[in-house]
Amino acid sequence: MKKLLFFIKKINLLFSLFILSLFYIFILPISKIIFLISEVFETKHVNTYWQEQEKRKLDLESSY
Amino acid sequence: MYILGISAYYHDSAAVLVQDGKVICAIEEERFTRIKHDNSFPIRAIQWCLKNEKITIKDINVVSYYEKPLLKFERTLDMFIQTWPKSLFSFVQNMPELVGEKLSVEDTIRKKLKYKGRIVFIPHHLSHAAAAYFSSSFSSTAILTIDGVGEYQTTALWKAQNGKIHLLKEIQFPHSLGLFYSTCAAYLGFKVNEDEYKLMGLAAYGKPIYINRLKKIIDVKRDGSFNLMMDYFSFREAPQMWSKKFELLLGQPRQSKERITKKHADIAKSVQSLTESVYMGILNYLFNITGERNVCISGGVALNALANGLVHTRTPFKHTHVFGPAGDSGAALGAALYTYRASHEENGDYHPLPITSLSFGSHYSDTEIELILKKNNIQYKKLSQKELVSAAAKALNDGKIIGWFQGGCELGPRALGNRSILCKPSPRNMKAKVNVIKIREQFRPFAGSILQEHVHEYFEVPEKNHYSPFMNYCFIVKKNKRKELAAIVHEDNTCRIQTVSKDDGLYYRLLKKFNTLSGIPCVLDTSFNLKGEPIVESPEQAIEDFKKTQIDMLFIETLMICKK
Repeated sequence: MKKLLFFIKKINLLFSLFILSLFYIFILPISKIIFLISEVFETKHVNTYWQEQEKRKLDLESSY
Repeated sequence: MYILGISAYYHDSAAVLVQDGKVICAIEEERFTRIKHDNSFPIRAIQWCLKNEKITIKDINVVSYYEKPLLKFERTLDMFIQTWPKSLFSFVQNMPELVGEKLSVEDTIRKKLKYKGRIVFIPHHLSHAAAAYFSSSFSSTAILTIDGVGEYQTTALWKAQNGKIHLLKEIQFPHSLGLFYSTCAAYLGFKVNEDEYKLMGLAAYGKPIYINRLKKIIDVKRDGSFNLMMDYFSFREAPQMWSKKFELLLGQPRQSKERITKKHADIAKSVQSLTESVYMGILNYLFNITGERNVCISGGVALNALANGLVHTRTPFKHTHVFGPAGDSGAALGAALYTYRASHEENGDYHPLPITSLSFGSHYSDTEIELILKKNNIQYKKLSQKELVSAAAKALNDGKIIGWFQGGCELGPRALGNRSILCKPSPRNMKAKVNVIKIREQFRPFAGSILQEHVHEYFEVPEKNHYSPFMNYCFIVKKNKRKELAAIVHEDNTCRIQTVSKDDGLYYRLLKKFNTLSGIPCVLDTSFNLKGEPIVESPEQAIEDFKKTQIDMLFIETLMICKK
């Protein structure tokens, strides 16, 4: 039983590492390209760095 | 209606219990775990709050968390994307923790507290804004919240009226005055999120000769808004806060144990001056867009007492309220108070309930303390309150250093006469004596507690009987009083002060008696802790520190303990 648990833990860890590596190698660079493209189209304010408030209703129940 | 406010997983985790809109207990987790600025889930603090109020978790109507964890996670992912591929180290280091407890806060709350009720998430800067506003005496006010970073916001301008808070403008991560200050503190060999006040203390010894160089790394517009030039910083992608380019600009960084030189003091002064200038620019803009005469300030940067002391001379605001625990422990309180107000908005007019004391923490009875003393075979004398005040005042007047442990411990980083080490504010060598006890760097200043009715005689304050109970402002000491307060006058002739009024009870009576004996209405007040430790919470810890150090006498509730 102990050995089985040990294997499950190891496999779990390896799987998590695999997913994170995939995320870092594929998802992040693609997202960066999208980010750089969106930067080109973003309006730049030259006289101020203040940003207007987001017009989003505050949902207290949500963790987002 | 009970609301439990929680802050956790960044620094200064805390729990706050609010009953029908009133704060009834609040304490930081560090006081129990004895880990300074502990950021773990504040289970002990929560348990203490429930026990103190003699309720169980089932009695809690709402749990209010001080930020939006998913939004914060999104910002962190954004950060990894923007700094890819340099973000590898940061990604590997932070990702396991980020996808663990930090992300599943709701599950953690439910599991650790066995809680089945309602949980709400208040945005981080709104929690700060609420802490400042709902603890003030203002019904209508402008609010500035400014810190390292919340979810995305680092600086936000608000207007509050009749119990409602509205966001006006904001600046988002990575452009942060708090992170700029922390980066410079780290560059000078101080710890991030812990030792920023050392930079503030060091600034008094320097000249702002590096300010023009520093202006290259922070672009400030006429309306007070600012952007950090990110090629000078690396806090998004690396454990080191500053980049190579920063070093090219200012030279080699100081190592933590390296001797402090004139250059370090000059850099500190330049950083402090630039921070003050940006801070005032933001406040002036806030005044312009709100037209308010009152301002509340909160967030980590609001702990910069030197900058706060300048608000009344460099901005048009007439009344300022800087909440005592302006950092994240105070945000737990703000989240709870906001939740209460949000569920009672329809109940008509708003009547401010100003918070005048922060002693919301644990307290001990004479019987409990006597048991501890007897168990440890420590001789003590039980006194009446009158005798206690007289004995302590006499000891202070005789030049003794006393430990003062009274009532509930304070929420936030300041000891305000409940867990304090006190002594006479002169002669100058008293500072060196207390520094030996606290094992602190000699360049750091001490604060003072002064009777409110005398504050204008000793300090250049905005008005007569100026009210500043939370030690969040530094003011210039008047020239003719500098000798009387020699041990607390800093190199730049300023002192961080706490005004003590009748509301402060025993502490007020102590200062009053000391004034009668010495003719000085002020004492040197420093937190009751030793280097690297949080402020003492229990009598055992106070006794332990008393035994270890050269504190002459300990006044713990009505019991007096003297060194043999």
